[in-house]
Amino acid sequence: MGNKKYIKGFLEDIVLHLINEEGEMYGYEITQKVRELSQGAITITEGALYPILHKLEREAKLTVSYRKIAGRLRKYYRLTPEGGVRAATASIELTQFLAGLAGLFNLNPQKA
Amino acid sequence: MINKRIITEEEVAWLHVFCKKKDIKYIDLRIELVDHLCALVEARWATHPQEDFKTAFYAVYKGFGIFGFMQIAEEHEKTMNKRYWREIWSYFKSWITPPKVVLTALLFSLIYLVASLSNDSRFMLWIGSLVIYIFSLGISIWQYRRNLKILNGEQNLYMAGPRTYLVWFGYFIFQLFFNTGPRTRELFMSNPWPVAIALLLLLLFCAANYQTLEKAKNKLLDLKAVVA
Repeated sequence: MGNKKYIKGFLEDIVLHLINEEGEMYGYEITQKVRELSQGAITITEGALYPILHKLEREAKLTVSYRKIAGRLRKYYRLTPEGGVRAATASIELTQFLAGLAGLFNLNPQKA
Repeated sequence: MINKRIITEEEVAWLHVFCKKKDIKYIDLRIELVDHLCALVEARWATHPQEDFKTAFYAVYKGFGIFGFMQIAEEHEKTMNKRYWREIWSYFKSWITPPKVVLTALLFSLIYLVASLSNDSRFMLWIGSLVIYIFSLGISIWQYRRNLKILNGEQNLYMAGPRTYLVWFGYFIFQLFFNTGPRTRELFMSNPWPVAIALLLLLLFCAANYQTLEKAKNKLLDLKAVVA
């Protein structure tokens, strides 16, 4: 599906939103959750996900911890208070943006 | 009920070696990638249970594209670099407390005094710079080698980078001596102030670097303890 160009701008917000919902997540889990919730319409590759996670970590929006799972270490990401604020703002901005898009493309069910 | 097939510890170790060969030399990033690869292989086994470990692994590794882990490694390097400088800066800021400011002033006065003692301040500056620079570099190399030994050759980016900064610092100082115009050089040579400030900054940087690397080493030791 040719959705890469749309996803690129939203990736950061998608990641923040999911971690906000789940409390804490690890990389693979995020890719699976995105696929599951979007019913396969959106996929995030590792090459796109980890740079975003590391960028958010660098900007102190995410904090990390390690735990041993099934004989190997796993890195978990959590939101910092700053990340929480960004996730909340992004959610409002996205809702407004999507409403605007729906208007533009006549996707609003009341108008249809 | 079918038991979910999971990666063995030997296979995890093999993945670590593979990632190392792919230039993921920093353990913190490697841990994350190895876990991700394990999860991908285990997910593949759910649909291809007959596949052996390596067949399943190479099938999922293809998904990383022709650049493999390169983009991930680059972004990780940026993150660690930024964090390193944040730590160094916070150490510098922590010096702005009364006892440390007094200590700094005393240290500065001492360097300034020694630098201005001789009639040929140029000679003193050279010797002073050289001694402090070699001392700083020596400590940094000693700490790097000791940490590698303690951590069985593992490192994170903090441990790999700072010696480069030190070398650049030395290069910058010696450029000041050699490659400035005659008037600037003369002003610089006959006045111990700039060199005293530069040497003081170098000493503070080395102290900050030492502390930061000790913290990084302890963090990696904690990680190793979780692995063990």
